[in-house]
Amino acid sequence: MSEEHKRRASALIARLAPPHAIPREDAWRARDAHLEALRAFQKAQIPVYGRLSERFGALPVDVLRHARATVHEASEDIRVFLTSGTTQGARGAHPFRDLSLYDQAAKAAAAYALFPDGSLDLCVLAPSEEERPESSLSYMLARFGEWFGERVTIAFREGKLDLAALSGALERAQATGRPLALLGTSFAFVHAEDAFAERGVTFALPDKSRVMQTGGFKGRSREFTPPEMRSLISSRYDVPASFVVSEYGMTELSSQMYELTLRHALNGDRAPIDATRRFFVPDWVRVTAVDPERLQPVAPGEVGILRIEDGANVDSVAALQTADFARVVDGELELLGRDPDAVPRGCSLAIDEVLSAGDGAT
Amino acid sequence: MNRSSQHPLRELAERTRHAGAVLRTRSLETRARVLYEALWALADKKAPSGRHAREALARTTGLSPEMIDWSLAALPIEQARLLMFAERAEDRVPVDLAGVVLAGNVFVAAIEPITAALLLGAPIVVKASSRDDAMPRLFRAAIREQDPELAEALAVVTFPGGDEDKERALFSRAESVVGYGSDHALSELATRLAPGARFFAHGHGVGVAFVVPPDHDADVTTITDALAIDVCAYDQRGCMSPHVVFVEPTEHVSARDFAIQLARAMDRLGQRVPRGPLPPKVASQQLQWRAIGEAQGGLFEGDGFAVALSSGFRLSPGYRNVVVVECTRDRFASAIDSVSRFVRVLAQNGQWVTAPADCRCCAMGEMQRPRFGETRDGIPLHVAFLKET
Repeated sequence: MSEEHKRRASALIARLAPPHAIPREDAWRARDAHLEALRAFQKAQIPVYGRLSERFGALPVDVLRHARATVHEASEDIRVFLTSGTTQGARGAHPFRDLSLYDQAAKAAAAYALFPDGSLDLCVLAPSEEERPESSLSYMLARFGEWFGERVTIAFREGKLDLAALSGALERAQATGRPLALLGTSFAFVHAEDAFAERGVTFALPDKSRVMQTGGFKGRSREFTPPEMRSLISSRYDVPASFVVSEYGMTELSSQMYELTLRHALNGDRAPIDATRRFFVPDWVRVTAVDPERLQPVAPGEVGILRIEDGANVDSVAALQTADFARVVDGELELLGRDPDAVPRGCSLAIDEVLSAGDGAT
Repeated sequence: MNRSSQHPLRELAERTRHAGAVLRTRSLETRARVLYEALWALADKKAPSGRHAREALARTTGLSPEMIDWSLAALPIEQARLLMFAERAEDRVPVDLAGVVLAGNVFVAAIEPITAALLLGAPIVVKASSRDDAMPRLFRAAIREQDPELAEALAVVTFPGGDEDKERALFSRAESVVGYGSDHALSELATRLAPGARFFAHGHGVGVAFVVPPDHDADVTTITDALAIDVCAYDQRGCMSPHVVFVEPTEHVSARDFAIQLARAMDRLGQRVPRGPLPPKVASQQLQWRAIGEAQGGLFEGDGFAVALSSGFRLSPGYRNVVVVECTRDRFASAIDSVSRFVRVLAQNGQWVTAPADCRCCAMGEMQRPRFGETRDGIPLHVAFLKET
């Protein structure tokens, strides 16, 4: 049964590859049918999802910090990705018995949004797969190295940014004129920014060099808005803003979403890059903004909490309810983060504050 | 002359400090009477001040009108208690100027420091929360109705926290400052006080309860009704609000039974005193929080409340969501170990467990209603408003 769903998902993913001639409406119809079949299958196969799906519509992601939700037994796991544990003490788990769909989805989306012009030199500002085998980001970036990397530099060692390795990759790119892709977490870029700013160092990366940044700053000492971050990176490495691309991914998903500014720029499109940036949602993924209390979809363009149904999550729950606020416009995603309004907390203790104080509440 | 010395807030602070002389010409009894009458005026929903307070607070607090009414009705402090508190000053001299920084989560938190300061003869400048500054302003207006000159010893200003220039200017002459709010905000504020100023920080906190259920149903109901008040008061937004109720099961009552009873009590209370509207961020957190409860096999929810069974300490998003944890008395200390330094209040229906240091102990139903003048976070209230001996 699971194999049939995987075949359907694989076929949907394959459609994103060039020439991508299928009208999106047709792809979405196929996606919706796939997701409906998957929902019925997973409700029957995953008890916790079956129990919660009626009440919550999708599986709230924090549940994965406390309960396993897969169609297969733990004994079949070949890899378990874990969340960072920044919003609750326990870490969420995404177990896999088969990574082929994950790989296919990751490769297709990255090829579409990040590497539409093929392979180039890569520099990774995130832990290596060997250092953090439980990190889905590290796994994905390791695969990017295999799929899209001419020469790969890991500029992160033992939990810290490896500034020497990063500087080496940047200087090599400048010297050789070979475009470089810098791929990493937003916070790693902040560390690099601090270090280079202190030394007064800037770079002029070759044409078609690019940056992919992912992740937020929750619980960190410094925060930047996406435009501020983009501007810093663009200035520091002399990369056009359209070539600074944000990725939105979650450990609990098998698929990623990207801004399409780089693809548009390479295609010669003149879309205004500083307008609200939206994430491209691949055709096997459905995103819906829902009212946080009623859990019903909000009107198109209205703000709600983001529900993601990932057609590539066949062995784990496809329909996930996140805590992120977003709006969905023309099938694309505009992320507003987790704090669209302030809450009168004052002296009342919040979960994150316990954790940032160094104590993990369980 | 630097920017701070020209600042209008510095001038306001100076005027307030001078008003302290007038304040101290009033006898202690007069000050106590003025404060008592002002609080009664706010509490009385038929009085103009009381009506105005209810209207203003409905706009600013995000609480239901019933919750606001419940809160205001509890404001008056007996004059005898005020005088007893003032006796703690003995022969000590009030500070020339005190400051207080209020948070916006529990509006009645404004009352205690203002009352204490004025009662002891210390003029006070109050930085109200930019989110909700109604209560200190209402209190000042009510005092002014009783004694306009005395009210000059209380200044209330509103600006977003973290404004370094304004905070420095406002507290430039304050000998002591009492701060309520997040640990982070308070640690920043501490750096902006005048040299030598004393700082009394009331930072992050949380309440917990420990229950050994009695055998009789009626007695259990008495406890759950009282706990429901603790959880629902101010929609569980305070640093004394209980997030977790530890229940030692008995032959007659399991933790699950108790959770169900507590949910029923919260339902009953919620019908009389409904929860206010849920901010979207809390709604999002509540969804995730409740789903975990459901996944763990124990979620009892209703209109505007939920009780979740959990195997261990789990903070709630507030807004009437509370966890029940099965726990024996000998395991209590380890059960709260990760958060013990944040536990501000412990309620229990007996002397079952030992409270963490500086934690207030009380009976069920009193977690959110500390008596005026009680030591808070290990700090006696009066010391902030008196000069050091």
